[in-house]
Amino acid sequence: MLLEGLRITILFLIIPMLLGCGMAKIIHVYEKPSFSGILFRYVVGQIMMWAVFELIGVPLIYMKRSFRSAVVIWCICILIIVVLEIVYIVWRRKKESCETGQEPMDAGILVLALIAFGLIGLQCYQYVFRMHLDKDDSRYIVNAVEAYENDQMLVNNPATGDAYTYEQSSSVAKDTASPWMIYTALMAELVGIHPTILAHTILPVILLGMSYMIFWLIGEALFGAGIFEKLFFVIFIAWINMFFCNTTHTQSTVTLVRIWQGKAVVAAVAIPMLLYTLLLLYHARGEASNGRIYILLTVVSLGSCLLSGMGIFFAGIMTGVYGLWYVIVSRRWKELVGVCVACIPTLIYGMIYAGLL
Amino acid sequence: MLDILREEYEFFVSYSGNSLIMVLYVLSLIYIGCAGKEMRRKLLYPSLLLMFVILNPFFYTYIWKKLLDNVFWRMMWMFPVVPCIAYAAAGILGRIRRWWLRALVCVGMMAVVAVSGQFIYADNTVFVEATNYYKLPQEVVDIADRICQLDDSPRVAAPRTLYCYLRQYNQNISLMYGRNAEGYISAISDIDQRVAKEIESDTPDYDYVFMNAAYEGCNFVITYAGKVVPEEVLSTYGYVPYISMYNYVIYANTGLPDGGSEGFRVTQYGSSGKNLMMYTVEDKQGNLIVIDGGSKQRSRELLMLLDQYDRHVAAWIITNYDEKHVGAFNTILSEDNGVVIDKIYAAPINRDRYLETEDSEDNKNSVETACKILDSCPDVSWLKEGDRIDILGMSMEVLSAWDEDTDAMEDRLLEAGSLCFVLEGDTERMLFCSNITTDVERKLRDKYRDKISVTYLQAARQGKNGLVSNIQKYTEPEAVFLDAVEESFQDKDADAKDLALRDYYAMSGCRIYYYSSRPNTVILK
Repeated sequence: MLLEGLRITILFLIIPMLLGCGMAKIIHVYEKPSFSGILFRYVVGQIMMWAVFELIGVPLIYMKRSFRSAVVIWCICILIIVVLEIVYIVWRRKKESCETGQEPMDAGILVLALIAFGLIGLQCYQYVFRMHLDKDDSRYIVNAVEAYENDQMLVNNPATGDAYTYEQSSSVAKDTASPWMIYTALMAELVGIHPTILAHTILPVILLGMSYMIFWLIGEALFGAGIFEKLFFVIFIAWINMFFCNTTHTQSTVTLVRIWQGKAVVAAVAIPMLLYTLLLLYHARGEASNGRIYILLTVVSLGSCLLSGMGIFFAGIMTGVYGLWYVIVSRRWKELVGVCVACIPTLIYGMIYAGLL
Repeated sequence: MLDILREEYEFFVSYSGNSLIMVLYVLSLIYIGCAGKEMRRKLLYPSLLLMFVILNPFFYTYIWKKLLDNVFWRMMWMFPVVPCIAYAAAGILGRIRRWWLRALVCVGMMAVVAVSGQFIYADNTVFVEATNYYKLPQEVVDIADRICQLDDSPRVAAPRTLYCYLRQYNQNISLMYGRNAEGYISAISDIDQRVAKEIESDTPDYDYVFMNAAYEGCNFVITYAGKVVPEEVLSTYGYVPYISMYNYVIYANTGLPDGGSEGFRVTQYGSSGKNLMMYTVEDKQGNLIVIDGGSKQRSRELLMLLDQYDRHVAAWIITNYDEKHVGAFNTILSEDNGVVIDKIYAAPINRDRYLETEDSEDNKNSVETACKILDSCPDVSWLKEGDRIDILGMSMEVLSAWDEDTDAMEDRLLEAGSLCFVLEGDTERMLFCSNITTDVERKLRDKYRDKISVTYLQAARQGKNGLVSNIQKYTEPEAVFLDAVEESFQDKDADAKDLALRDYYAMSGCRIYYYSSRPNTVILK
């Protein structure tokens, strides 16, 4: 149990933070340490981990390589990126003086923070201590369990366990383009916990946490430094999520009920993150760092592609619509190149999804 | 245009459930619109642009519908409903300076949200008590454990309450159909579909379930407790009750060979109305024989069936050129659809003589098309009476085909010239009579009396030749296939002759298969 706890800490906390620190430095966002900066780094780090897996996982699945080989290659890639980023941070730090941004704290803030934690905690409690049965897991979770137990990726029809036949190849193409459940298996492998347990208990807490972290950042993008507004914003997000559940189809329902599934991660994490990144882009218009945010936008798009077909297309649509609008507003037409680059993952993985590649 | 908007509205309703929260979203957009130029540019205009792109009828028709089909509602996840409402709420609260008023307004707005929506945790079925770390139904975990005690890689035919979860717990368990029975990941065979349906049925046909489960290598069959499986069925297919747990009874067949029971599976397909002839025979290596294929209307169904064999047919037997027999064959072979047929065995026909005697233009066209296709196929064997060939390890013996006697007839040449043959497995035989007339039946009775005693019979002309030829006394099958819906024998006005053969076999305890329960299967051992 202790070992698993240590592994979870390293994989879900330390590595994303290290990855996110480097990205923050590279794109000049939240370079100074602050509460929001920590959240930003964590979220970006997680999404970088997804993006790396999307880059290496899809070709490996195509080549019918073993699951363990994907695990090893992903670990090596992440290690290399972490080392490079540490080198970059150390190099940058020598050039800069480091200031810390201290945010004010009073009793009102504490109360609101407690309310926010209480609401989010209630949602986490449901995931950790209670159980939601979802028939779609007969595809998603089973794909993860197959990789974990049989060391193969998307070879068999998850519903039966029989090898895929030719007529089922379109189904395989969709899963290949967005192998989120293989990534879940990878996490399970590295943590040493069965994918079903990981997906139903640990991942929801992490993903739900990420979702609210992103909303905090969106709050910051909308309200600036106003901490009261940001806290109210997150409280209302959490509150509305619990009530915008008239059907099983709303983004709130999938966020609170089955967040471990790729399409739900799109609704809970990817779409808010895309919105946040595009807001960052809007804020940085006319600044020198603007071009660098397109790096983040491309990484977020790539990470979205890992999640599901919706992630592939929604990333392209949101980038296209918001990106184009911001280009028009700022009248910086050369930034259209950045918007197009950020849409490349949608183009490539969309073609894979449709079975055209 | 109106239809498209109506479709979009239906998707919108299925997404939001007409929640009042959408009204709050609209109000929040108005608030954002009043919050200054910066906010309009940052959030309002792009949100409206996104809504325009998503709901635009042109994009909907030509892109979104093609891309997402019946899950278009997921596009609506991109509407920033929750952040916009939260922004408006937080923005309003941020403007209030007095803390008590702020708290009051905050509670009031929370109450508005609560009243407008539906509380997710109010429904006790959304989250239930977890009884294991996997967060799976406890019965799934226990049943899987018990099954795996007997076999570490079992194959299971399971009811729908279990099949979604078994493989989440243990990957070594394979399933006969799993959630594919609900049209989930891929199409399954009609046979597997029927097995799934029978298990859920109030009056399951367990003979069908266990026969096909055994043939497909399922060493475990799980049924609902309370629906008793006849002893006779269990002993026939080698299953024994293993354990009763929760609401289920698990039957095990520990002696089942890998890959399932031996033999050739003969399947009768059909339609809910029109009489036709459409059979398949498959072996354990996954090779498929098609017999006739039915009418043109069945071609799509047949093609879907062939998909399960990668569109590869080991042999196609044509017994008759009536549209009800070769319509699907003509359609499929006329298209470039990648169907590969290794060998075609066809009933011979004297086209000139046939065309002289036939009045029906449809039949003439059907014969002409089939013959044209067959002329262009390289591997066609025209069979005649007495021919004996080996086909997928079975012996096929032709008892009757078009000959000089047929030429001499004045009418009903196509029926009389039907290919009548016996398929012989290791120990069992099946007689296919196609559409033969009573005269041909008499010939069989007199000439092949010893050969027409079979285990299974496909009765000629839907079994409506009656008892005239007396052939029934020599066939003595365990099961007989009538290529018609059962209702056609229950019609009060039905001809007594039509009912006679059916009644005869029913009286003798023979199992009778109609289209009503299609696909019907027997295993030819």
